[in-house]
Amino acid sequence: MTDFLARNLIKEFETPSQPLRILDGVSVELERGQNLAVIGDSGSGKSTFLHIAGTLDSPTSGAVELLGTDLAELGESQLAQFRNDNIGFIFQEHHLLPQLSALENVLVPVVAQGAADDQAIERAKMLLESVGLAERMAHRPSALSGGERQRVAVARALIRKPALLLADEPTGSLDSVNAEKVGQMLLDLQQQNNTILICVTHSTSLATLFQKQSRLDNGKFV
Amino acid sequence: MTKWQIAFQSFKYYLRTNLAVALGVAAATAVLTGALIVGDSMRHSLRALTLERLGQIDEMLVSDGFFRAKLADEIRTTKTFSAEYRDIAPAIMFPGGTVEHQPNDIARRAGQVTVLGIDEKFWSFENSTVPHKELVGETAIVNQALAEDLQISASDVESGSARITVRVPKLTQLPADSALGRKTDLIESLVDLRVVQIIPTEGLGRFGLHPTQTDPLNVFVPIKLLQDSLQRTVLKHKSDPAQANVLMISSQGDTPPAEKVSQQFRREIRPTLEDYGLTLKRVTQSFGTGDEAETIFDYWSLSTDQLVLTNEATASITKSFPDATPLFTYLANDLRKSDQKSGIPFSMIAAVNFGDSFGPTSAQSAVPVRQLTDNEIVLNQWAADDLEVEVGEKILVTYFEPETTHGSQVEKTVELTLVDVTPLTDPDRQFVVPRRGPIKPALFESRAPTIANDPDLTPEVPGVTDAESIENWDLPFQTADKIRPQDDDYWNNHRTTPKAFVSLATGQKLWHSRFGETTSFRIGAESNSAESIRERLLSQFIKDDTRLGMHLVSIKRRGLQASSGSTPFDVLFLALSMFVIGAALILVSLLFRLGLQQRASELGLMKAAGFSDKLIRNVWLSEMTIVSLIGAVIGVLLGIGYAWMMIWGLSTWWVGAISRPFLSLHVSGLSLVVGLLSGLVICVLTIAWSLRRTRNQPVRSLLAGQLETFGNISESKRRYGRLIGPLLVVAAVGLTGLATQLSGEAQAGSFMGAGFLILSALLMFVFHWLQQPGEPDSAGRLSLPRLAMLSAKRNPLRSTLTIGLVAVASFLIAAVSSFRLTPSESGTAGFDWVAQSSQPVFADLGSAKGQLDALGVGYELTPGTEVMSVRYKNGEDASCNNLYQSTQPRALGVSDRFIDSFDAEDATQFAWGGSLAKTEAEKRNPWRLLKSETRHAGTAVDPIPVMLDKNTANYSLKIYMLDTVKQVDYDTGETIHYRVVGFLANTILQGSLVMSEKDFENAFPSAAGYQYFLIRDGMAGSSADANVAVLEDRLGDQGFDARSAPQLLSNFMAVQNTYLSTFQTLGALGLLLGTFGLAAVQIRSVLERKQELGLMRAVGFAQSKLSRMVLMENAWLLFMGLAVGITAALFTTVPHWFVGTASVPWLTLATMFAGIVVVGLVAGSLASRVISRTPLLQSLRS
Repeated sequence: MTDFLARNLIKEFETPSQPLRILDGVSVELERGQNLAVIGDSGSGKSTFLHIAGTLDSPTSGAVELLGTDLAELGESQLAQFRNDNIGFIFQEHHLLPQLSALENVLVPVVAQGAADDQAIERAKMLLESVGLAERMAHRPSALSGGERQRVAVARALIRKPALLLADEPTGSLDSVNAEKVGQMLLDLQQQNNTILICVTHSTSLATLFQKQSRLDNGKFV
Repeated sequence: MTKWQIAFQSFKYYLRTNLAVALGVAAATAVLTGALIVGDSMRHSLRALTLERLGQIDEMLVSDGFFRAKLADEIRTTKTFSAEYRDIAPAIMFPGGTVEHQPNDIARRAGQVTVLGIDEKFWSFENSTVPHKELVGETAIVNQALAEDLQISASDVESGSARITVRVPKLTQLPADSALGRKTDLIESLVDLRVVQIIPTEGLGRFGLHPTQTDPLNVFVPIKLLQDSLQRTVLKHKSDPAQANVLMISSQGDTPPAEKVSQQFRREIRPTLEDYGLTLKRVTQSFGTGDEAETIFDYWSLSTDQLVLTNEATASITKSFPDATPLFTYLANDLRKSDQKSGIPFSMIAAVNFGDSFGPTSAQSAVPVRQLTDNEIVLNQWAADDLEVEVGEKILVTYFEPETTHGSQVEKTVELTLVDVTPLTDPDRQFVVPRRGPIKPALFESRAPTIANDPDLTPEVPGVTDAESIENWDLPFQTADKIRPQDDDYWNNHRTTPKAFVSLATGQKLWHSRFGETTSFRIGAESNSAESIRERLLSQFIKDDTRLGMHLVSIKRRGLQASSGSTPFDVLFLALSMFVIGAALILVSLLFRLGLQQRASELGLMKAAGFSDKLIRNVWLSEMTIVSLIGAVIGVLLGIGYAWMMIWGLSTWWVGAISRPFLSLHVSGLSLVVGLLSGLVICVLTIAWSLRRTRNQPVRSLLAGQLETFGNISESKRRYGRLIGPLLVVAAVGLTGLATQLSGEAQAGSFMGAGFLILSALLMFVFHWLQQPGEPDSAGRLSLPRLAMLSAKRNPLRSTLTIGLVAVASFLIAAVSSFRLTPSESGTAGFDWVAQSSQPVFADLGSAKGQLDALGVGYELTPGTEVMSVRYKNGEDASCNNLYQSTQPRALGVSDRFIDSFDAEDATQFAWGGSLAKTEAEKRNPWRLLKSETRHAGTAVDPIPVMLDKNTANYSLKIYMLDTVKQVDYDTGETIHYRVVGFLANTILQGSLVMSEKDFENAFPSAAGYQYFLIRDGMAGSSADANVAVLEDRLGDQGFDARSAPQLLSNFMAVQNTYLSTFQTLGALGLLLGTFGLAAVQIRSVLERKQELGLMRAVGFAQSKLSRMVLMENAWLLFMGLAVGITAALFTTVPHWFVGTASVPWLTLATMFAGIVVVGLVAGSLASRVISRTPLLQSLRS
C-alpha cells in the first residue's frame, strides 16, 4: 500500500474573468522513508501543492491519501487531529512563538493534545540535541540565529513522529552554509524517523540531495 | 509637501485606526465635560430655585417684634431706595406655624409651616404669571406641598369645604423663659379659614427664608386678619394697629443690589423707638401750682417692651447718654425681717446707684442717702413701717431666679442689711384705672411727694403695671392668696413704686440673666427733647449696629451665594471621574500604541529616509492632534449627553441624593470650551508620552515591523525607573494614613490620590514582572494555560495598560462600595424617635410631672419612656439633605441630663468621628466636652464648644479639623463663634450645631422652651408608636411631629449611599472603557499573531482550542486587572475599616465582580470570534 498518495490534484482560484488553474492534475505516490524535492519557478504551484498535501488547503478536485486515509473525508477537527498526529510542517519563516524557549517551541504541537508529558519533553530534548541545539534549549527565538531558529522548527515538525514531513523553502532565508547544514540535517532526520519528506524549494543544490526531484511547471509535473 | 500634509494624508489613510483613538479621546473628554456640566447644572438649578423662591424680593427687613407697617412708606422716601430699589411691602411672617385640616373625624396636622400675612402687593414680587385669588376676610391660600400634606384637593377648595386652622406663636412681651414670662396660652389660632386657592409649590409659592431644595409648606393669609387677631394680645399696646414684622423689598435691577448699596440703605432706614420696641416716656412729678410749683422729678424714662434691655442696647444707650442713670427693677416675692416667716408680698425693688440724677433723702437724717454697697438695702417708709424694722436689721428678700428651666420658677432668698429708710408720701387721691384710656396718676395736693414716689422706676409690663389690682396681675404664678389689705392700699396709692432700693451692682448680681441686666434709663429732661434723644439713640444704634431685633437681610444675595452648593459638584464629579478619565487616557494610549505598532515599518522608512526623531514625532503629533480634536469635539457632544444622563439619573434613580428632582441640564459655553481644551490637551500629552518609544528604535527592527517597548533605553535609566514603584507605595501609604485623619473633600482627595498612587505602583510592578523573561527551562509545564499566559506576557506594556483599565474600574467599584453606610444603633444612640414642635414646649417631658402638665391626666407615656427635651434655634438644615451651602445652621442645646446620661456604663453611645477628649471620662463620654462651669461668651476669644456631625462639618460647613473656630451671623441678629470639640459620625443629629443648653441660652436668649425631642420608648409590649401617638395628639397645637429615628438615620445614609451609587456608575463607565480596551487589545493581538496562530493550526491545534487559548489570555489579563484593582482598594480602605468609616458589602461586591468577569469574558470572546473568522492557515502562505 502506498503511504502517501496525491491523485490528479487540480486547484483553481476564482478570478473576475475565468478560473485560474494553479495545479493541473498533479499526482504523486511515496512510501515511508522516501523523500521528494519539488522545484519550480515562482507561481508554478509548489506551495499550493504542499499546502494541499498537508491539508492546509483543499483541492478543487482530486484526492490526497495518507496512510490509507482519504483526507477529504475528514471534518475540520478531525483534520486538526490528523495533522497533529501525522504531518509535520517546516516553513521558510520559522513561525516560532517568541515568548517560548526553544524547548517549549518544539513542544507546541504536543500541547495541542494536552500538556507535555515527560516522554514528550525527553523526545523534544533529544530532537534538539539531534539538530545541534543541546546548549540552546532554554533560549528564546530572539536569542537564536536564523539557522538555529529553523533547526528548532525542524525539531518541532518531528516532535509528534509524523508520517509526512512537509517543508516549504526550509532554507530560503538562510545563507548557503546554513542552508546546506539544515538541508542535510532534514534528510538525516527524515531517514532516522522513517518519514516521508516532501520539500518545496528554489534551491537546486538542496534538491539534488533528495532521492526524487520533480519540477512543477504551469501546475503540472514535467 | 509639509509635515501637516503628511499628517493629514496619514490621518485619512489610517482613518479606521485613528477613529478608534479618537473615540478614546472622546471618552476622556466626555467624562471631563460631563462633570463640568453636572456642576454647572447643579449650581444653575440651585440658583434658579433661589430666584424662583424669592421672585423679585432682594432684601427683607426682618424684626423679632412688630413695627409700624407704614415704615415701608417712610423707607420709600429714602435716597438709596429711590435710586436703587423698586418696591416694598409689609408682611407678617411666622416660620414655625401649625396648620390643621379636619374634614372628618381625623384631623391632619402640618408643623413647621411658614405662615405669611400678606396684602396684594406681595404677589407683585412674583416672577411667574400664576393668578392669585384675592385674600380677604377669613381666607387662606396654601401651596401644593401643604395641600398634599393636609390632603386638601382642588375640588375641596372649589366646593368651599377646605377649612383650616392656622396656629401661630403669640409673641409675648416678656421672654417666656424669664421668671415673669408666660408659659401657657402662647398660641394664637386663626380658626376656620376657608382655603380659596392651592398654588403650585413654585415661584413665591415656595417662598422661605432659608435656602433648601426641598418643598416648603406655606400658607398665606390676609395681613389684616393677623393684625386684627394679634391686636388682642401682642399688638395691644402699639400706637398703630397696622403692624408688620417683615418688609419685602425689591431692587430696580435684575440682580440683587451690591453689598455697599445694602449697607448704605440700612443706614438710611430710620425706624422709631417704638418700632424697636423701646419706649421713651417723660416722667414728671411736681407739687404745688403756679409760681410756687416745685418739681420733684422730671426726666425721660427709656425702657423696652421686653422688660429687660439687651446688653448691646444698654451699651449703645450708655454711649449716647453717658450721664443717663441705669436702673434694674425686679419683683421680690417677699420682703421680711430675718426673724419673720413672711412679710410684704410682691414688691418692686429698684437697683440704682444713688447720685445727682436720683438721690432719695433719708427719712431720719433728711440728707441724701449714701451710696449703697453690696448686701445693703434701703426701704421706703411704708415698707419699713410695715415690717417694723430698724436701720441695721437684716432683711430677707425672696425672689424668683430670673431664668426658668422647663417652665418652673426657682425661688431664692438673699439677706441684706437695712442701711436707711427713704420717705414716701401718700397721695391725696389714689390712682384711677378707667375702663378705657390711660391710668390717671395719683394726686399730691396737701403733701409733697418725694423722689421715691415714682412708680415709673418700674418699666411698664402690660398685664401687671396696668392691672387694676395685684390679684389681677397677669403673671405665671398665683398672687391673690398672699395679698393683704395694706398691699392693695399700697397698690392703689403707689402702684409699682419700688418699696426698696439696692445698688445697681447688687441688683445686677442677683437678677442678671441672658436677657440683660438693665430695665430702664433715666435721661435728664433739662437739656434733652424727645426728638433729640430719639435722633441720638438711632444714630448710635446704626453706628454700633446694635441688635435691636430688626435686621436688613440681603436674602437674595445670600441665597445666590449659597447656590454654589454645599458640595462643588463639578469638583466632586471630576475627582471621582479622575479614574474614568485615567482609564480613557490609558485606552487612548493603548489604541495609539496599537496603531503605532501597525505602522512600525512606516516609522522605520521615515528614519531610513533621514527624518530625525523630533521630526517624526512632530509629524505624528500633528496627525494625532487632528485625531484628538475630532475626538474632543465628539467628546464634548457625548459629555452633554453624559451629563444629561447623570442629571436624569439624579432626578430618578438617585433622587435620594438630592431629595427632590429639581435639577435641569444647564450647559455653559465655558464648560464646553474648558472640557474640549482639557480633553484635547491631556490626550495630546498622553499621545506625546506614548510617542517617546519611537526614540532610539533600531531602524532595522522598525523596517521589519517591530517596535520595542522602550527603544534603547539605558539599563541605568530602567533601574531608576524601577525605583518609582516603591516610592509610589511609600507615598500611597502616607496618603492613606492621612486620609483616615482628614475628612470631607480633603479625605476624598487623599483617598483617591492614594488609590491612584497604589494603582500606579502595582501596575509598575506588574509591568516589571511581565518584562521578566521567566524560567529558562520550564518545558515540563508547558500547557495551554501557560501558553496563554506567556502570550499575554508577550507585550508587557500593552498588557499592563489593559490590566490597568480593568484595575481602575475594579478599584473604583470596590473602594466606593466599602463606604456604603448601613444604619446602626450608634447612629441613633438607642433613641427611637426624633420629634420637633413648631411652638416651644416648656414642660419637662422627661419628668412625670412635666408629662402630666403637658399631656394632662390619663395621657401618660408608657413606663420607662425617656424624653430628652432639646433647645432649638431655627436655622438652615445643614444636613446632606440640603444642597445649598449652609451659613446659618440650626442649633440644638442639650441639657446636662442628656450629657450625663452617656456616662452610664450601659448607655448606648453615639458613634464618634473624633473629639478633643483628654480625660478618661471625656473619652468615655465626649459629650462632657460641652459642659463647663461658666457660660461661654460665644466670641472669638471664648467660643462655644459644639459637636457636629462629621458630614455636616465637612460638606456643608467646610470644617475639616477639630478645634476649628467659626463664626455664624444669624439673620435674627445673633452672632456666635463656635469651636468644634467633637465630630459625630453618621448620626441622627446631622445638620445641626449641638451645644450645651447653658451656652445655647446665652447665645440665643430669645429662643424659649424646647422644640426638639429625642425619645426612647419604654416598656416593651406596648404599641411601638403609642408614645408618639399620645405626644402628637396632646401637643398637636404646638405642632409636635415625631419621626422614627432609625428611619431618619436611614434617610440620611441613603443620601451618601446614593452618591456612592452615582460614583459606582462612573466605575461601570470605566469598566465599559476597560472592556472596550480589552477587546481591542485582544483582537489586535490575534491579528498580529495570525501567522503564529496559523502555524499552530497547521500543527494540529483545533480552532476551538485556539479560541480557548485566546479566551484564557483575556481571562488572565482580566483577573490580573481585578487582582490589582481589589488590592489597591483593600490597601486604601483597610485603614478606614479600622477607624470604622468603611464596611464591606461582601455580597454586593461579589455580585459586581462576577458581573465584571462576565462582561470581561464576553469582551474576550469577541477576540475568539475573530479567530474563527480569520483564515489563519492562509496566513502561512506568505
